Amino acid sequence: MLMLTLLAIIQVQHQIRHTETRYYLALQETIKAKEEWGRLMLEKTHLSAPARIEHIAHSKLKMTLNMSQDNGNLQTLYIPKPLEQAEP
Amino acid sequence: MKFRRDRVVFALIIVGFVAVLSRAFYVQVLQSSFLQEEGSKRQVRTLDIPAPRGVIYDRNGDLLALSTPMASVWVDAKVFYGYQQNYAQFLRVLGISETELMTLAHAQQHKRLSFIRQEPDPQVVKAIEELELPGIYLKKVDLSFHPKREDGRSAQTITVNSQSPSIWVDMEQLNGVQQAYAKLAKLLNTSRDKVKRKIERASERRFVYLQRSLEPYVAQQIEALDLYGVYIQDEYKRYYPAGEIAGHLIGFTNIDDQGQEGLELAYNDWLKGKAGQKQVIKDRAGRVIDFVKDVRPAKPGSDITLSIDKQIQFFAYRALKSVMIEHQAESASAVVLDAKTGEVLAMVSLPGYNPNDRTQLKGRAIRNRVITDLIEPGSTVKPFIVAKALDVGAITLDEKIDTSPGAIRVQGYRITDTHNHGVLTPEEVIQKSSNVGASKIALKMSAEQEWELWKAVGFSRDSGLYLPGEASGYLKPVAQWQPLDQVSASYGYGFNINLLNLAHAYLLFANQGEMMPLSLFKLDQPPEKTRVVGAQATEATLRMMEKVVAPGGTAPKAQIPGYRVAGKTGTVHKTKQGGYEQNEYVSLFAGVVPVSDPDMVMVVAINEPSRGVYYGGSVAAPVFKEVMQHALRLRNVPHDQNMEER
Repeated sequence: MLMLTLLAIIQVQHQIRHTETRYYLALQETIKAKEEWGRLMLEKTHLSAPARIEHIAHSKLKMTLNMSQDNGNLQTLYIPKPLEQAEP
Repeated sequence: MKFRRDRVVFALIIVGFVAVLSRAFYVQVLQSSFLQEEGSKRQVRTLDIPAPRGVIYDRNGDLLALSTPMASVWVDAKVFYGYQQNYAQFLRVLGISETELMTLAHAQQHKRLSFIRQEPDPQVVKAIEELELPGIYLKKVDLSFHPKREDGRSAQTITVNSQSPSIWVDMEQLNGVQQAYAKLAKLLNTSRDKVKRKIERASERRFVYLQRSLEPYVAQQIEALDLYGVYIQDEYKRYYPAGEIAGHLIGFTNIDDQGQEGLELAYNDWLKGKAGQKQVIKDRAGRVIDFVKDVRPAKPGSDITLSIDKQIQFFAYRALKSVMIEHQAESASAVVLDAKTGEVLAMVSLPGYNPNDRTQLKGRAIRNRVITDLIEPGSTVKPFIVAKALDVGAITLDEKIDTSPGAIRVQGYRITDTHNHGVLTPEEVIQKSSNVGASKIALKMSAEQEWELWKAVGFSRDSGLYLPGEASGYLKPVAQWQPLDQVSASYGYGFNINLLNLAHAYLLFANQGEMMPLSLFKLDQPPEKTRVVGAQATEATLRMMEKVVAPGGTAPKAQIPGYRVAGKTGTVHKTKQGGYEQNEYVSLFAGVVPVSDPDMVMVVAINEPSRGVYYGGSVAAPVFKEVMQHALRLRNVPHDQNMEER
């Protein structure tokens, strides 16, 4: 019985050590992933910066900010309110 | 009694063993913790693990500030410089150049060490001994060996005798000293002389930053050089993806990652992480050789989600910038609030700065003018006086107020309109922005009633956002009020507020006379409102403010197709010592949109437009229109008016 208990203690300690190592590895991985995320987010915000998009829209796509209805850049459609149906 | 020899020997051995065992017991058991501690003191070091600051997001989850890993290189200049001097001295004593030393070392390598030569001169030996350079050894040995040559052929046998000391070097260890300046300079992208000068100048110091904010991969390369006295320190650098757009609001950190301005300063304690600690084993030269354990893991700072909408912030920034250029203004600022919740959607101040560029972080541009600059709000507060007067019953909706001849005299001061407007209704007082009309309405109320109004809308305090550098509004105590104060306050002079105060006050018109506190953080539930003015009076006033934007009002340029807009212009003389500037103005516009179900409040201030045009309706109102047009679209606010009308 004593032998068994001692062996069990050793076994549990071994498992704890294993789990701890796994935990630290996972922690490191999270940190790495976070840093990578940060880098990617910075890249994304850089690429999607409004000023950059505006520049590209102007120069490459020849888009315009002139939103008057007269030259056909903007069209407003009004959806008529649906008629209230009488309840059956 | 006869001693048998074997017994004696046996006894002596036992005594010896007991002595050894007891000593072992003493050292291993009794003194073990003390000795271990002393040992650790000499080689185990605790290092800080830096923790990143929290991320700042806008209301849609876009990044506004982020910490990314960086590294700094520092040198223990005293040690580093000492090794450099000693190595040079070593070459001088031997009388050979570095190249010759290396050729010799390559040619005469034996296992890890390389034989250089035997040195019979005791003075030279002593000099070399005193240098205490790592990787240089003096031995007295008898040895002969075949050095391995690089081409694989066996070279001549080298014989070393023990008659005089022989000099040996460990090439790998010498690597930590050789060409150190040049190696560092190459990776740091500067010149060797610059690095050398910097270290020489600080040669007595034990901690000198060589360069900060290095890319991590460069730092890794430097670490791989394994130079003595050169260390890498991991740290984080703050990036502001929004750059100049949100610079003032977010603020910035210094190079040690401490908040210096804006939100970074105000919420520094919340944002900053808690550095962890790890234990490592270091060798004699101070290089980390083994990692022991994490004592305390680093705790990253907490994140913040702001109420700011980055897109609206951008449009506000862009519109202000173009107006500033168009009218050659001294500065410009704007605030956009969510009318329903009091959240700040955008806060822009120009001239701005790029928080990512350290050279720009000084001077007048870093002032967040929305909160640091006090202004007299001028005509933009006239709707308040009308609403309050309607509420307390001092006037009726169709009251006739005679403003002719366009001027009145109060306590010896002349208050004038731009021209004689004749008899006006309260609606026309707001639409035509008549100072005389507002004054007469104010005089129909008691000083306490008017003072209560200004206090209730928050003109006597700060905004409650805890932004650093905020100048808080000031209102004279009511006991000191005279009719002149009452009159001048009715058209926005005689007290100072910041632009955020004004925007906050306008929430009154967007919420049927109720107000709520401002918030810079995204709210999960709408805040509690407090009633300031009756709902009917406020609604009536809001209708009047719609006329300001209609043709014939002071700001038709604030019209937005498809939406009903209510607003009020203001053109304020700037104060100077002892009076007002004749030709310097602040152009203001405050507006609420859409009238039928207010969604946003925006206030614009253009300081000192200097191209001849300075009326709030011509300078500030177009900014309102431009920004709100985009913001209404972005927030999917339904039209409350047909586009074809007007």
